[in-house]
Amino acid sequence: MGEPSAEQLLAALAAGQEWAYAALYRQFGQRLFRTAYALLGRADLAEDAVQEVFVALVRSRRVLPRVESLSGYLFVSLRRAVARIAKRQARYASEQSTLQSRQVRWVEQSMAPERRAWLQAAMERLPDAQREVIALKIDGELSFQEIAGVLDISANTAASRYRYGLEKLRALAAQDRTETDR
Amino acid sequence: MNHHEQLPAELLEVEQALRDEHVAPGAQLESQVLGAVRQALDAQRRAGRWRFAACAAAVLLVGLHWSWPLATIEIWEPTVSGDDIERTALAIQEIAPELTEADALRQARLMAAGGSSGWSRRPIGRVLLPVGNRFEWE
Repeated sequence: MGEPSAEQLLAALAAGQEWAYAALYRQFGQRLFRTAYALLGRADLAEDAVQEVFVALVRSRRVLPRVESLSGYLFVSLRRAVARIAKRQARYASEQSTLQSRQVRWVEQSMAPERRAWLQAAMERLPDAQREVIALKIDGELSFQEIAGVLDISANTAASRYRYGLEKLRALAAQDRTETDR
Repeated sequence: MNHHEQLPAELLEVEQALRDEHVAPGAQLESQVLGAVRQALDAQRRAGRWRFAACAAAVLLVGLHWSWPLATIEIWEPTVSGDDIERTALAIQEIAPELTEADALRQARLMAAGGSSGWSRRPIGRVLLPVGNRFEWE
């Protein structure tokens, strides 16, 4: 059996058919996880967020046939889950290392754990609005139009935030390189 | 509008670096999520069954509530004919001219029903009772 169409999938999800949830996970699970990871900075919390999205989907499955964009709906739901988890985590913020205090260095090799850690820490130094757009674009693989729908902003604003975010990341990398060279 | 075309090379490099550093969820996440989905669906189905049972019980109770009086109702069958009631009503009007024709007729019907219906055995207030071939206020 091939992948179901969006309408078939929505109808099956609304009917509570388990295969539809499995198909949805195959389609969106990784993207949702990566986006949540980019926003929360921890794999365990990102996994919780993905799970919350799917459970919320079951609870509100009756409204699914009226949903226009399934990906938009999922990422809006993910955003809420991330906000809830971040709020819960904020209570323990004092126990965690602060984002700015992470001592990680920019390294040139891709896939090096240091570079991943640097990017994660640098992402956390971006303003929330820019970080969110970058996460939805890079990790969620959404178009600016879709991001605009999720964040309730215009596509141009989404594109501008994305660009400013990338510029800031580049500036942070350059600054870090300079410090390392000194 | 293609925003990617507007990105300068140095920003495309940053974008690529971000794409290269994609993290993957643990292998257990899929089964964990689908397990949670199954639990949520089961909980909904259980709740649905309870709701149905509660509704059915409520409908049954309402049905019983309404059918009980119907099942136990006493059908009033007058033991006297219509002519007797009219005669009685006329007699009542003779001794109590202040009663309207309708009131006299009602009193006559009550008297006719008195022998078979429980509520008329314990009348409240004054009623006319037959004494021999005449009527007197109780």
